[in-house]
Amino acid sequence: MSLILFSTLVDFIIASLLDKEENQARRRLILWISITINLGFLGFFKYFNFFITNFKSAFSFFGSQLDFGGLEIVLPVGISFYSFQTLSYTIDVYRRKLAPTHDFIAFSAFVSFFPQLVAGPIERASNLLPQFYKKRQFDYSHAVGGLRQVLWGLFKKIVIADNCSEVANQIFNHSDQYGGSTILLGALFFTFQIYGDFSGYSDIALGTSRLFGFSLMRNFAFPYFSRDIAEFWRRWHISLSTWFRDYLYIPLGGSQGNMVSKIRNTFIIFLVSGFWHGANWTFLFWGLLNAIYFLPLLLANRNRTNLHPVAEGRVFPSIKELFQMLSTFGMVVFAWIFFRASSLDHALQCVKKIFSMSMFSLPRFEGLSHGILTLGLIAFFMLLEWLGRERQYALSHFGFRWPKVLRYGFYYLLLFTIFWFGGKEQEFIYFQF
Amino acid sequence: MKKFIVRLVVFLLLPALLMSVPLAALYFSGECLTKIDDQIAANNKYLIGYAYQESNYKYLKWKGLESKPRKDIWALGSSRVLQFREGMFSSSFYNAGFTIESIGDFKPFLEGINSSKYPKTIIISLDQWMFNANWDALEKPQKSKEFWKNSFDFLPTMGILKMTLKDIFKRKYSISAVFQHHESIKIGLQARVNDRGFRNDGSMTEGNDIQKLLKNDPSLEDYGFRNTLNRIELGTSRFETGDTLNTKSLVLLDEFLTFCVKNNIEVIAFLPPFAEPVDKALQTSGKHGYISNIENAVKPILNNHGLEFWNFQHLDLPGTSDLDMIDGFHGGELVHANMLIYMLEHGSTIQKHTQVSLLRHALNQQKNTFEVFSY
Repeated sequence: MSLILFSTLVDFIIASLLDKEENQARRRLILWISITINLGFLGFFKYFNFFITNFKSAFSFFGSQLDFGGLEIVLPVGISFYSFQTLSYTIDVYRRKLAPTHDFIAFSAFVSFFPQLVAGPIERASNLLPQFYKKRQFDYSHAVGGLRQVLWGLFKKIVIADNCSEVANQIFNHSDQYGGSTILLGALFFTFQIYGDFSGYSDIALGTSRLFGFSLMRNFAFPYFSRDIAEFWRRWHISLSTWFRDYLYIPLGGSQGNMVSKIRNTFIIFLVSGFWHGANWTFLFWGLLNAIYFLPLLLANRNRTNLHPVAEGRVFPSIKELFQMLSTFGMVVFAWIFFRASSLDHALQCVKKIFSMSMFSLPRFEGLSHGILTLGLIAFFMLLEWLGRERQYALSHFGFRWPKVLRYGFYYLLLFTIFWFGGKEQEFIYFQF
Repeated sequence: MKKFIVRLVVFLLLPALLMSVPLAALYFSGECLTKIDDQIAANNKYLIGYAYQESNYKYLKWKGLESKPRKDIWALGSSRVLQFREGMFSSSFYNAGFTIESIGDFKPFLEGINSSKYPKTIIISLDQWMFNANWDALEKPQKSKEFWKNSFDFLPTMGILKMTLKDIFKRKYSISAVFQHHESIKIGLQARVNDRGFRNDGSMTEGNDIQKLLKNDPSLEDYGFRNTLNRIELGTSRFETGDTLNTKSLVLLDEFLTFCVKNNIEVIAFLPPFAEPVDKALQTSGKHGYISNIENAVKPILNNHGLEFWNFQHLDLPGTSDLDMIDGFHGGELVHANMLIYMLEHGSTIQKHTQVSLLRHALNQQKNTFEVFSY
């Protein structure tokens, strides 16, 4: 609490100083103070033990033993999210894209806005801050839409993510006992778990905000229907991807410049993105893998070919689109193995099994029947996602042409599914970040 | 705004109506929304058996020890000590079983109890899996001494409401059984419907399952030990595979024993029995190597403190067999009475609290194969 208050106070003051200061060198110095403080806190709380452990390992590799341990640090809730949110504010003020606010209450509310505080979306001051100045009036359709999005978020979290997590945890936690096909199935369940979990949270955050008359930025746009990795990254965790694009990738030169700088920038942004998720080599490798996926598209100048929803205006995709979606999805599933594994060794063991003969045996694990039921729920979920893929979220306009009784019956069906088929309560994955 | 609220309330009426069914069952059975402090403190005979609120048992045991006069001897451990009964001892006794998950729980449990209530002797069950390096209970954060005190859940969670409704639809509980009037005090769905739960002395009755065991009913969950054997085959649910002992558990055991000796508490530890097919499956699988190392590692620790260790893992006590096992890893009352007789006949200090004659007399009048006492 004191940490978020301190960050809020620092960035509020720094933005005012930036506004008043005309000397460019001093402005840059002030900005760096903000960056150092915000990233310093983040680095200490999130990465201190990681660096200490690896520092000690590196020394012991060369025969020296260092006699100091890590600290028992509790990661402050939401620190990765609000640190980036306040940073974007000071950077925008520095760039003179945004006038600093003189309303401390509004600024504090912007930093600590409860629906998105712990797991995003990482809001931009230019979008959210002005909304605190306005007098809000109740809007019936806005509120109903908000509730609908909350309902869809709850479905994603409780039905899809929580059920998938039971199976994925069972398989990944006992991966030494399972063959390649079972581990691949575990990776598939984790793929839907993380999507249901994170995008479900975002839907709940967006819907709750709408009930209060606020509009937050969209965080997910049906990423698993992407036709290439570049499209996937335009549709997955949009608020973080665009943050890195605007405040890291573009300042580094983006996709401009020679081939070497393009490659360097791509690796930097994906590695930093991986490291943002947590202090573990698994996240770094996950970032690296995505950079490797992305690079050929960038170098061939094909990273912006799929800007519109797949099969726009049609019910079914073409064979080519289907193939593109499946191959992209396969790459994403493979990368999630590294994200989910407890260590790089664990991930490599899983991958080794997937590329062994055990891949051709039937999957077998404790809770197989639950796994089959969950697959059915995933199929139902993905069908609704497909039908609503041209909207903000799947349920946005679903059933609007149906008679009211039928539409409300459908909402009851969703509520009942949440209640009846909801999985064992699990904490949101992104709370740990 | 008014239109929105009215429509929302109308929309939620149907789900609320549906929820009222399990909520009523939970309330009227005493499963939820019922405090148990008064029942524990009073001397009336009760049976407390929850279907979904098992964490409340931890509170029940803590309160049972805290609110009643000091007892001379306790049984302490997991569910594998629950068949020790008050009638098996000549000293005052309380069964504090179902409170311990791992070795690390013993000491904080005792620390959470007022020292004036400490017994002279504690019989502890050292469940084999508590020493498995691959079992993750010790990896969980260590419980504080307040854990048992704070384990009572008064309100039902959404998960409990769901399970109750599902079980009512599956006819696991008939509504009439929930609302049926009983002469004795029965709190919780298991107690009211299946006669299953904890008695005043902290021991547990398996209720209707005993009747099923006597009839050799195949609907029993662990009929023919199938469930336990399946767990061994899959290496899950406390039967995780492993070859090495968890050294942390040995350290924690030593800490607990030091604490007991310091407080003048005598500890008698035992490895609890497995049904013979279960024991055999664990040995032949070749994946549970840690079990055979337990005695050699644990016995010296107890002996260093001048305390007793008994290995009852192989169920070959005189007068007992697989037929006396409630399931693959829970012996019945007969098994527990015979364990005590074995200890007495081999010079155990438990003789301060019970005698062979007392136990033989009880066994001569045993109610059935699984239950020694008729109450």
